[in-house]
Amino acid sequence: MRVIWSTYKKIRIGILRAVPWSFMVSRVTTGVMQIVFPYFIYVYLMKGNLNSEFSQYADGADYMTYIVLGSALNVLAVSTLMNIGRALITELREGTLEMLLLAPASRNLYFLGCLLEQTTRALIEFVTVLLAGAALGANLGALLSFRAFFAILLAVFGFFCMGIFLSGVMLYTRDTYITQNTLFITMSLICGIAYPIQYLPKWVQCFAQIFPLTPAVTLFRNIVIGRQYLADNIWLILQIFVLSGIYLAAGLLWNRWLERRMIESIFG
Amino acid sequence: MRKSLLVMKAEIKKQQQNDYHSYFVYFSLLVWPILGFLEIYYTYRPFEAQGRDLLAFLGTGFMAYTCFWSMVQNAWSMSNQERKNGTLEISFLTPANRLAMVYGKALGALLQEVWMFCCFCIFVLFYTKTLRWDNLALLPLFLMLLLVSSTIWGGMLNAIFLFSRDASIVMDLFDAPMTLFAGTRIPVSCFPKWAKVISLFFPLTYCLNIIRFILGLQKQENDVFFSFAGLMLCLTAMMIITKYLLVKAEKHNRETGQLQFY
Repeated sequence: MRVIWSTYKKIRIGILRAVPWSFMVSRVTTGVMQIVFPYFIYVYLMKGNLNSEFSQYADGADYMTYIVLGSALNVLAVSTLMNIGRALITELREGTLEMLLLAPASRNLYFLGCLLEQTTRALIEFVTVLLAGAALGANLGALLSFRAFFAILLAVFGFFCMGIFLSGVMLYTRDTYITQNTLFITMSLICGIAYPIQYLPKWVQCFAQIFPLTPAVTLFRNIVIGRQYLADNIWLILQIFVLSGIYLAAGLLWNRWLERRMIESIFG
Repeated sequence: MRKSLLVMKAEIKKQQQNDYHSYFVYFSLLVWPILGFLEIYYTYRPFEAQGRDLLAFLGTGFMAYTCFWSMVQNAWSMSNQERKNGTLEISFLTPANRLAMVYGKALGALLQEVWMFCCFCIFVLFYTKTLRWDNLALLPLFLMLLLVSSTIWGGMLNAIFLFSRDASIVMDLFDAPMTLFAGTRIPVSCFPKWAKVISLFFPLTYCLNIIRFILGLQKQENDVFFSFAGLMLCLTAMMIITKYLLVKAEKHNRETGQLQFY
């Protein structure tokens, strides 16, 4: 518990002192833009004319609500993946990784500390995007329920597990910029954020299933828009758990191997 | 003048050596705009509008936008790295012309910009038959237009980055509205009045107007001269702002020894 708390404090202080605004504003603007852009098309350009496929694919959902929920969850995914994935490589760049690797504290607790720190920030971003969406006419009444809350928690868990795997990728390639941007652009393209994934080619739809965001966003929409129960979506929940398990196991194994190699190769 | 050109050349070379260290960089620079383009295209899918006109419209929008984006992105990452490496202060001790320095920093994206520009033209515009063999000669003209305006835009943002380590929010605050209001993805003509007024502040709006008008994608009442005049006005204003910010940042630096305001 102490490790979690001190990691939390260390990261929070660093962020407040050095870059309090950058990443947060960047993600909120991206999220809000992902709403405002379809809103402009929907309201000003097309005057509300949707084609019949949309209501078929989206189960008769209201367009704005559909978009807003997707975009808000995407913001949550991006910030969780980014903060967890970048944690270790940031330590490397700041020159504190060696101390961290030598310390007796467990790495898993360290990651949990990162998660705690980042989730409190990410939720602010999430809520901001939702509020912006509500202002543009999304119908978010069903958000305040236990079911929706559970869906959000489950999604964060899925992103966290993927983030641990991503951390290994970033540490291995020593790169954040290219990896993270490629991943995030791909995710917002194929995971069904701004449109139902049924519009995409079949093989892309299959490929999209390896990202936890795809089932998570479907689950979130089913619960908030369709007012479905958790039991109706048992397969989606199972998919998220299976994906999380795979990412977590792969990430932990890889990180262990990487750490051992790193101590020899970088720090000598 | 020769000295300024030398400064710009040095800045460009420095950035390229810093950033383009592997083929992955080139790969990603091509892949991101394509993925982004596809995302926008699919966002239009729930609506009735489809076909080649839409592709050509989005293609020109994206082509112009990526030029602006890459300049700004490069300028930002560069001034961020220089801050971390401690070379920003040193560059302010040199006798180099400050204006040339910021424009050089923005122009570091030159190579990348030309590369993306060419790829986009070939992929999208030929496919949609907007670009034919007979109007191919227009391409260098477009490139020059985009190059000049995006450099000045990038230079201004670069001058803003001198004010704080945390200034990249300025980039987001300018960049996101630019994609929306400048008409890269949605025609400006369908906007409500207030949005049209906002669009007048972005040089990209005028560039896109000119390009689309010449390619025959836009049949609008306001002619190309109006856009051109607007562009000139916008660019002049931005140069003045850049100069003012540079003087201010340097003065602050002389007094306090710092390159940040908070």
